[in-house]
Amino acid sequence: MSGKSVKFGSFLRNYIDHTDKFKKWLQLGMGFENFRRRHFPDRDRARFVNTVNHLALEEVYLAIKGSSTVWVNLMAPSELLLSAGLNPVSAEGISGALSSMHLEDTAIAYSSQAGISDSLCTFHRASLGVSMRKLLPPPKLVMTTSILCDGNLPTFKRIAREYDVPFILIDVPRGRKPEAVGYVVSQLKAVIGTIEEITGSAFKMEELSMRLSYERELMENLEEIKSRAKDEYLPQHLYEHMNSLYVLHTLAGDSRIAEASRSIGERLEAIPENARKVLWLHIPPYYDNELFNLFLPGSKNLVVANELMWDWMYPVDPQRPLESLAEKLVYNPLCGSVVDRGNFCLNLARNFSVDGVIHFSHWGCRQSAGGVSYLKKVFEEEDISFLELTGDCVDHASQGAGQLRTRTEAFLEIMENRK
Amino acid sequence: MIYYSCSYIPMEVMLGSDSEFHRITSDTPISCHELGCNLCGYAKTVYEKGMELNSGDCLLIADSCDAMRRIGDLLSELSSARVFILRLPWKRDADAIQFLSGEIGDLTIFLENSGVAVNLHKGIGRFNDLVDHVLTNEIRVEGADLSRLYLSALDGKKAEIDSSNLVSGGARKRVALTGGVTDMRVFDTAVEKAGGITVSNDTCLGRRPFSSKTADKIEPLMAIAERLLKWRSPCARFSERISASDESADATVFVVPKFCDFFDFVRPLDKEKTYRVELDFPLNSDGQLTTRIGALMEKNDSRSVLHSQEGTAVIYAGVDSGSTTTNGVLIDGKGKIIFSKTVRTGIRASNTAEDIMKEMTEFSRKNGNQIGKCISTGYGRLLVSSASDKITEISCHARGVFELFPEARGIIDIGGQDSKVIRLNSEGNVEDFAMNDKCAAGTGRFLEVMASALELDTEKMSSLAQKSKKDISISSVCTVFAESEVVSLIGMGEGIEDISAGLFKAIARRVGAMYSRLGSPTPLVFTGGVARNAGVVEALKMFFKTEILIPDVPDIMGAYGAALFARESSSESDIR
Ligand code: SF4
Ligand code: SF4
Repeated sequence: MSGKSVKFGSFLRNYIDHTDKFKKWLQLGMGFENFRRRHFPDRDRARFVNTVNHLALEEVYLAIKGSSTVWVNLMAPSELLLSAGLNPVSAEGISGALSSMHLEDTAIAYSSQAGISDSLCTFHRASLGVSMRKLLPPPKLVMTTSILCDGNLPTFKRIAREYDVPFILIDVPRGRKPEAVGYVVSQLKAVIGTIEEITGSAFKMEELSMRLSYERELMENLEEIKSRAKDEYLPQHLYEHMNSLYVLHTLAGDSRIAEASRSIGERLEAIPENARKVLWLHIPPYYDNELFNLFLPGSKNLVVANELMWDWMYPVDPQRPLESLAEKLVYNPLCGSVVDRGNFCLNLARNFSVDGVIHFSHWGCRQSAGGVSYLKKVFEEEDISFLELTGDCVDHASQGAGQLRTRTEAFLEIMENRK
Repeated sequence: MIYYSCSYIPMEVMLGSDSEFHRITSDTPISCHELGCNLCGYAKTVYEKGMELNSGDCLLIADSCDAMRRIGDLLSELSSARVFILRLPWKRDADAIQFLSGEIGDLTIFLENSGVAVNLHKGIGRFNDLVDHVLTNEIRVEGADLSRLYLSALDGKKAEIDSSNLVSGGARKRVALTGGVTDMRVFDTAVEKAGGITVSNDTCLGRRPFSSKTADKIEPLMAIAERLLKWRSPCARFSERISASDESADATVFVVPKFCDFFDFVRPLDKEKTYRVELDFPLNSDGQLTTRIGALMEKNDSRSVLHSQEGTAVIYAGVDSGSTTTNGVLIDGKGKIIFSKTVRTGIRASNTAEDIMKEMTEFSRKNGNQIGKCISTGYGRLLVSSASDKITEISCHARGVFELFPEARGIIDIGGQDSKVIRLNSEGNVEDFAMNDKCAAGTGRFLEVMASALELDTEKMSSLAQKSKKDISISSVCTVFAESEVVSLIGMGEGIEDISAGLFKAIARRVGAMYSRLGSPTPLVFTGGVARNAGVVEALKMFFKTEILIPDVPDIMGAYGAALFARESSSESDIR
């Protein structure tokens, strides 16, 4: 996947100063790839993985086409948008897509010329650059929650201003307190009002309930992976982990992935003997990198779970759509303290009986990196090896490739010795 | 004792108790490394302080941002003190006020459980009284006294105002301060060294917490929540624009705390007199800050170019005391350079500068000339005691360049530790400028470190780079990262010539981004020692796709400009 997109990216780079041509080629290339992923999925892969890979791309493709898109952050309740026929695309995903083509640098440089500090997360800097440079058509709306991180609020507000479209902030107080649910519900109601204004038609609560029942089914099916994780796993490349964490947030209410999750049990594979099982915390880099080759499915080193695929799993209730959506936001483990995050990750580590944990501390991400010293302590007390990798998920010029490899390999060796 | 971290902690609650309380501030650099390099210095300061507290203390933290939130989480686990985290909403509407009042209610319960009784009505009364005190006195004092007024108010105390220190007026430039948390002591000193005085302060540690009173009619929790969200002047987390500078000041400094996601987005409205500076907390060096503030104060001064009579034997001197090199220039009455010299500054900047002065005095005596006036510039300009005036290197560079290239509209100056970019108008006055904020990335120092990683000198690097065939991209983040990247590139068998070219490109990108913020004005002149490096010049040309003008001796532009200023501001009586 990544080799091809880098090639395509270097072709696109020829048009970087001609925005119109650039957009045309980008749309053509992405349209082609979208068609391919949809109609010619990879036979060797699980259906669930193929669907996820397809949807992750389709989301960005729709944004490039400008088909009723809404730019959201990873933690926005996109179920509301899907119910109204709008297409959510996460701005982080747009940055990731550029990065997979090695084109993020121009967007980042653009925001940096506009005076945005280099210490802001590159997910945000790249998407800002895209909006400032109008590399993608305007969305209908921009919507963010105050979780996961601080960068969301100013970034999304600025993106909305660049495109001159409405901006919605859903404020989800931290601390996972029941008192916050009512505050969030009343905001969700206001969001529905805005959506009605934009689409010009009445919001259908039944549609939302239906979305939530897909989501609930998806969640129940995915539980199967966890329950069998002692001896089996779902083979995924590191970049496919990324696709799934991404799609499970923004398209959790899409019927296609609920459907694809039905047969998930059939595609679990036996964990090879002597394999080293790793839990991935935070996000891996989006661009082609050394780590992809270190964790190949079927090899001795397996990433069996990633934090951000499971944090979003909440048993939503189609009977109480708004309340349960609000609860899903408020009770998200990443919306709590670092202790909540620690407990959640530790449970994941136990469920997947992992041998080690890798935390990728993305440059500029204070919410994730700020808790690493605590997480390290928690895992080491449980005798689970812990590695913090620092780097950038988006900016491939800041990856420090050789270092990533050396440190990860050394870590894998340590894990081996501990066994 | 109660310690607290943010001006969103409701002071009414603390004032409603009999307990003493203290806003956490610091002026000693932080030593903790557990937190990584990614968090703002104020958050680290709070962490460090929180770890020192003991079980009798309470620590109140508002989750104003990711950094504070994480620090709060960690301290709840690790500190001996009792820790409370106040959840702060992002909105300011009625629902948010309702939510916040619940949080404040929880805070009072927390304090009461810790043995601190709270009377909210009393607290509101005392708070309003304090606001009156601050608002009446802030207009009467300046500089360090102003800081003292705010800092004691943050601890709930009314500073004594000594009537002998009342606002003096005078010739000093008036500097207003706004933005995020700032190390006041160092800031005040830097402003004073630059020849100014702080006359207003609208930061978190200044007037912002006291910008309004609390209504004492309605239910107290709601009243306090309403004051915090609705009536006080908002923190950058709520707004992308902060309404702007103090009209009465000559210049406004807007401080963006390093590694803060909010203040970074704020664009002060009045661009002419305002300057954004990214600063760490606490500040451990004030030299660069003094330069920047000085340049900001000079920015709006226009300077007229005098023409002195021909044939006079009076000459003029400029000394540029930079962090890496010190330069001296002598010009004659027509502005022609008759002497110039560059030496390494070393550890005693003042001695080095005085040595150059001595040499220049001797030189002029020998030739039957007399030095009319000397102006110093550069990082160490305040240390040059024989100079009669001190002007920042921003203005001096601009002056020097304008003399040689009157058509120039933009300057890139890369020195040993600093890089700066300047935009000029058609009169040669500085319209805008920017300086590197963070680290050595994109400076001469960066080049030297990289060259030594490659075991080359910088000249060799640039001749090798010309042979590069392969495009290698190198992190633009920082010297430390880049160095380890270079080492791993070598390990991967990449060619030295390609790595060198990659490094030059990294510098060009870095400085280029800064220059683009000024609108990439052309014609462009490149000054400073690094301008002698053909590799960087090539990379900049490629980056901007434009020709670049370079003075014969690019290092001495600052000193030359200073000498020109000396000539222009001289009168007969200066001659010694
Ligand atoms: S990486 Fe961190 S800072 Fe960046 S968007 Fe994700 S959560 Fe926010
Ligand atoms: S300056 Fe910014 S990052 Fe630092 S504590 Fe304040 S809001 Fe947080």
